[in-house]
Amino acid sequence: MVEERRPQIEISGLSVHYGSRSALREISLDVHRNEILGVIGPAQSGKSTLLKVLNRTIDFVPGAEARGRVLIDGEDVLKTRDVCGLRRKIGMVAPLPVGLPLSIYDNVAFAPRMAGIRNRADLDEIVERCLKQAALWEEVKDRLETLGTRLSGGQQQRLTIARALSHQPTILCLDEFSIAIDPVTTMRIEDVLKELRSKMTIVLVTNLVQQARRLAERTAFFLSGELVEVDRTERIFKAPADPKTHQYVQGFFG
Amino acid sequence: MTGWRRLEVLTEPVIEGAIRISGISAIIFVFGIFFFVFREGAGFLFNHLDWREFLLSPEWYPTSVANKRYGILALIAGTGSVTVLAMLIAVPFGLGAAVFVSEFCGPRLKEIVKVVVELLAAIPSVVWGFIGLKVMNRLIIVLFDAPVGLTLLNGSIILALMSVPIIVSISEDALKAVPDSFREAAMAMGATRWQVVYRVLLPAAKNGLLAAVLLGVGRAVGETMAVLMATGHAVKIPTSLLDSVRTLTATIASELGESPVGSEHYQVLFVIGVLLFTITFTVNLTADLVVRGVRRS
Amino acid sequence: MFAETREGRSSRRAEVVASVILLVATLLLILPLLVILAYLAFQAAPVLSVDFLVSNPVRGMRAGGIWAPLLGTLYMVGLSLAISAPIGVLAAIYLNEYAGDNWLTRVIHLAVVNLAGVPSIVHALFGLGAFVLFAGIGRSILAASLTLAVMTMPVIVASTKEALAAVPMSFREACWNVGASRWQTIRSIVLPNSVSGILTGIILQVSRAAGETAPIMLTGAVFFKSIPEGDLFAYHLFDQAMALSLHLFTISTQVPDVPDPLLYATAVVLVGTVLLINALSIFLRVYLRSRKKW
Repeated sequence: MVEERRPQIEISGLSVHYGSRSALREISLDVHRNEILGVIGPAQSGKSTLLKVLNRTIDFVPGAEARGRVLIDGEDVLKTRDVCGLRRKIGMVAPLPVGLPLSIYDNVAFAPRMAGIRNRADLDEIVERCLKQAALWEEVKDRLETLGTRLSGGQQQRLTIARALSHQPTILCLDEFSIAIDPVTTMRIEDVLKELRSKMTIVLVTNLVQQARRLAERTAFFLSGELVEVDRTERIFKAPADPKTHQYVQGFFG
Repeated sequence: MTGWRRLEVLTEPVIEGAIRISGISAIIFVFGIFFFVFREGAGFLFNHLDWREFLLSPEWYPTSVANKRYGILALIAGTGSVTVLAMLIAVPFGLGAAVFVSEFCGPRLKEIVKVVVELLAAIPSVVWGFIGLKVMNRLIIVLFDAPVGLTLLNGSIILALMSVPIIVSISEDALKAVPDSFREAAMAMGATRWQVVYRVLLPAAKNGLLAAVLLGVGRAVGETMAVLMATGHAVKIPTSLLDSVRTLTATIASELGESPVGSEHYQVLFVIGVLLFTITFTVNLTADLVVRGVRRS
Repeated sequence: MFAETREGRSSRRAEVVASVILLVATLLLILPLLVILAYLAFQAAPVLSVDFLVSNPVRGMRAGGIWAPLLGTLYMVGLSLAISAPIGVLAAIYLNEYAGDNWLTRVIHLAVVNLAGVPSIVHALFGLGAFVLFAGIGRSILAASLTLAVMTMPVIVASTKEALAAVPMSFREACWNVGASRWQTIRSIVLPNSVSGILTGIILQVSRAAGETAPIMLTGAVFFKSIPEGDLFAYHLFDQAMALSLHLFTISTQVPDVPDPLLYATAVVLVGTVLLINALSIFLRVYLRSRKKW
């Protein structure tokens, strides 16, 4: 019997709109500690918006307004003042791979440096650890001075994961991470996620329903800004409560 | 948080505040220019200005003791004639060079031409005036058997050379903005390069090309030193290319130094400044709107 | 297989004619310029020397060198850039990195665009009305520099903004995602990757400020002022000063009987300085292109 602990993320009544367009409507959702939550749904269903709210990068979207309550470890992120501190608690991987125009080393050392860590030995340790966790170390360990922008797409996405891990987040969010990379790298990253699940909570937004099936314990289905249902992954795929869920996972619309 | 980071967190709002203030200062300057120029001329503008006489009379005698008259028609004609003539020369050459650079020439020649055009644009207006005074002057006297070389023709040629760079660079931008697919489609139907230009590209880029010409006009209307030195000093409406003329800009530059601060003459010169600012402001605004229209489509 | 039609032949001929005409038009632009510059240099040759640069004008400016005007231009341009470059760059950072897309930003954009097209004589009138008279600074190097600063600032804002906008948005987002603040992102990624573009824009305004006459003519530059030769600190903030651009105007239109070589030499130094500064910016741009990091 799992001890009743407070969920790490508690969302209640979250609504987001961009100007006149509504992106999320009255979302209520919990994310448990150390689980992998899959988030599936067609385009424009609000999945990316959900992630942007979690780490408050929604602040950078002009005209965006968010209402409701989003608690992470008991603190309401919509009201938090130390936004940069919040973002360091959450690792974010965007759909398109990005290598900053710095050396690979500096890419991974970027966040620790911004947080104030200057000691070379400490940074060395962080860079090696994160690149190993992201399954990129073996490929780049002899050329850490290479510019991040010169890596391939798959390598840059793993570099992004290394960057995300460098500030020791307790939550890792991935937004359709495999959309622009090859299948081999996708598989390697999925292995990485399987290894990380014991150390952190993972919210995996994906347009590949099979990916959610492979990795997630629970899955949430979003449609047009509403949370249709959330349940154990098996239930969602074999016997969902809502017919729309059934139609989506069977591929009747995408 | 380490010490460095703590310092940074404290100074960030200050830095961001400085950044915001600088941003606002840009607007203040535009209004400031209008305000201060207007202020110095306000006395004349509100008390003594007879619009009909001001704009329609060619009699400009601000220093006459007995009968002061402030008609600027001859000056407007000076500015207008020099600008129109300069554009008649600059537009075909400028557009032609832009089309050549954009569609017909190889990459090496393109770089050379672009560098030359840029250096042409950099030449200070007083040097252009000097060229008009020394070189063009003698050329005109010799070629046209004219009594004097500081004429409308002189100023127009110099002004054309000064305006060409901006016409070339904006036109080239406009032509570059036309998608390659237009060119490819036309060529696939068998058109020659020249046909592609005049049937497809020029119509497609016409907004940008119009903006280029407008900006050239704005440049020409606002030019001071070159026309001051090259067009002569006669305040009369020109009847031939070899007449001397005086522009609005040259009038301000040459007469302000000698007019007592606050006198009527002084104020009128500022009013002319307001007029110039309004004209160039309108021209530039129109050009910007025309270009925006392009971006929207 | 396909016989050439009469239309085909005439359109090919039109094409050749057109390209020749365009080539000639372009050459007609370039060649006169090169010829004129060569002619200026040729006429100036007898007088050009280092001594010309470091000795003062004498005999009512009919002989001697251009030290006083040269130093004056240095002061005015230097001071005006010290004012306009920092404010301009900061304003551009504000516009590109902080401001939202609202009515205020659009008004600022409009203001900057139009400020760039104001005639130089109107800048002169503004400088006279605002700095010399209203602020009570009087005709001085300070007033002239402030006028030049107002003249160059909008273009610096526009070119800096362009350089900043060339840095892809995805870089900024990647920084925000790992907890960097807006300013941290700007100082560690955005600025270092737009420095060359920013510098190019500033250098171009240096050359423009050095060449302008009207704005300084009414606000602080004078026909003649006597200063010791070779002294770099001869001018003071509230002094009036000579300037190279105004000097060329003076000796070619206000002073009679100035020997031609002297006139041409002054013109050559002015044009030469300006073209050299512009060449520097072109060089910087080429260097920038070769070191692109993405």
